[in-house]
Amino acid sequence: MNKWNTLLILLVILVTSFPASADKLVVVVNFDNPTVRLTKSQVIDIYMGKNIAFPDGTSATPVDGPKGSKQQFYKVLIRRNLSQVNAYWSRIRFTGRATPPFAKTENISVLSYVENNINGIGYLPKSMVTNKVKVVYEFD
Amino acid sequence: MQVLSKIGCILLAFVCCLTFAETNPVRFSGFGNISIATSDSDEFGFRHDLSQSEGVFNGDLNFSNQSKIGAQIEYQISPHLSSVAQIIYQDQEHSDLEDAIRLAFVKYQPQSNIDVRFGRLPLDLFMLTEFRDVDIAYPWAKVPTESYGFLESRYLNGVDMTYRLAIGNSTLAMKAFWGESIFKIFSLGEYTEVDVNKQIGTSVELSDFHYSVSVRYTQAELGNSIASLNALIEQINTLTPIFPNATLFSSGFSLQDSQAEYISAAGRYDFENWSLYGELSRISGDSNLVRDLTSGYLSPVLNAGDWQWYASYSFADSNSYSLTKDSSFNLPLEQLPAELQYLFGQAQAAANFFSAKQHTYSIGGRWNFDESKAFTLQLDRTIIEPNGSTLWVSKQFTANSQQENINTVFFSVSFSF
Repeated sequence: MNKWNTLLILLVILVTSFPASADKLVVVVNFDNPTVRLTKSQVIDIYMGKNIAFPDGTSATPVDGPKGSKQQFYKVLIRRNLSQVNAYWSRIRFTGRATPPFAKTENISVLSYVENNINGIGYLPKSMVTNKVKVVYEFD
Repeated sequence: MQVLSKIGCILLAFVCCLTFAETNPVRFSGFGNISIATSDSDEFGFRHDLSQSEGVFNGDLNFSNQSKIGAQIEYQISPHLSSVAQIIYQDQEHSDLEDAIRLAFVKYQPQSNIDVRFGRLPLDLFMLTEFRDVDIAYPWAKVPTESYGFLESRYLNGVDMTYRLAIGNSTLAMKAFWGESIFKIFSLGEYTEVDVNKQIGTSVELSDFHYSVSVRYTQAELGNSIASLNALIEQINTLTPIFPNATLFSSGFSLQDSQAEYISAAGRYDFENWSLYGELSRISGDSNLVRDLTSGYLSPVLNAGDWQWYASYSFADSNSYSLTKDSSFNLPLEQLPAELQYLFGQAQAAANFFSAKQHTYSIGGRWNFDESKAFTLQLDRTIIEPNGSTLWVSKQFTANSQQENINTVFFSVSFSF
């Protein structure tokens, strides 16, 4: 019985650790978008409202994912938690400079939005990438 | 004509929002603050800026001084054209619907790095003026009164243009604006509205997400005098037979066609867990009433998970006006009849109305209990130098003759949605 318990624990560890590596976030755009690659600085510019455009000057429409992905994304992108991101956007939004990314409550909605909008840009677990979107930035 | 153009701007922005609401993305958002303040002074009541007639005195638990709610509607009309309207409700005397509309503009963006906005715009005088009413946007319970208590104006009716240039990982943003506004002050028991007929300014800011340094310069031309001083000016003008300089002297007490300048250098830097905010600013003018005022603040903030702990030091300092140093006043004051000594004493007191001399030490903590909601508790200890109490509401309508030490406590819940 102990052997089975040990196996079960190992299985749980395996199952929970595998998605952790597979769920690394990547930034994606629509497959037909001419953008091939973005730098971290360009992703920050788009997501923090400094220059909401792709490198060729086309305007971008960023979308945020569900809370878990959003927390992870801003932590690795700018090392800030969500309340700090919200305080930042309050300064930008309520002075009429820019509007924050549209919020999606599920990763699948982010994927669907980017798949159907050539100007869309979102972040997803790498395992969810399809052939209708392309990865333009991967976190280290 | 000016009134019509103001109304036109506001209507245009709202009509744009409503007309395209069904076919274009419309986004609603808002913010608010519920605040309680108390103080330990019987004589001088705390207020956030010169427009507030109600001060927070010893034993008061004031809810209305800083509490407010704001709502905003944004509309992307086309890829290059958008519109924003914002309204803020705050319990304040002498405030109407037109004052409550803080933003109502149309933005044209021919390229992603160029914005041209027309309508009612946020006034960009100092680093925090544009979002001073959005309490969730800054770590403190209030913006530093020493720097912002004199800046009552909340908006500009006009146009601004911003150009952004990428420099490495940073962005250089250059803005120029032009327009008109008003400011309101409550002084000596009376309420006055002053028109700012022409306001021209510029700002340059270099920033990335972790830092920002900026300089701002604005020049304002004032359009009317303070009504409560007109009688004083007229009385002085009647003294021409014994005081040939009377008209020249009294003109120094009028704001009509006078100029004021606002200069600010500010910065913010985020270390790993710390942030540092600082600003040094100066207001000056060519009227005796606009005293040269230097103010500033420095505030370190520790970011510890959902908590932020901070301290700050802020100050305001200005030179007092003295009749004996005014070259247009060439009378032997001590030899004048008592009633004239009283009259000129009033003139001197009026000229010192904008003469603030005080500094404040603050400590506080903020708990971000949700992504968009926070509790903040702040304790202030303010030291007011003699004749430097302009920023406070005085029960006796007089300045302080000796140093005053006042403790003030603020507790607030701020949020955005």
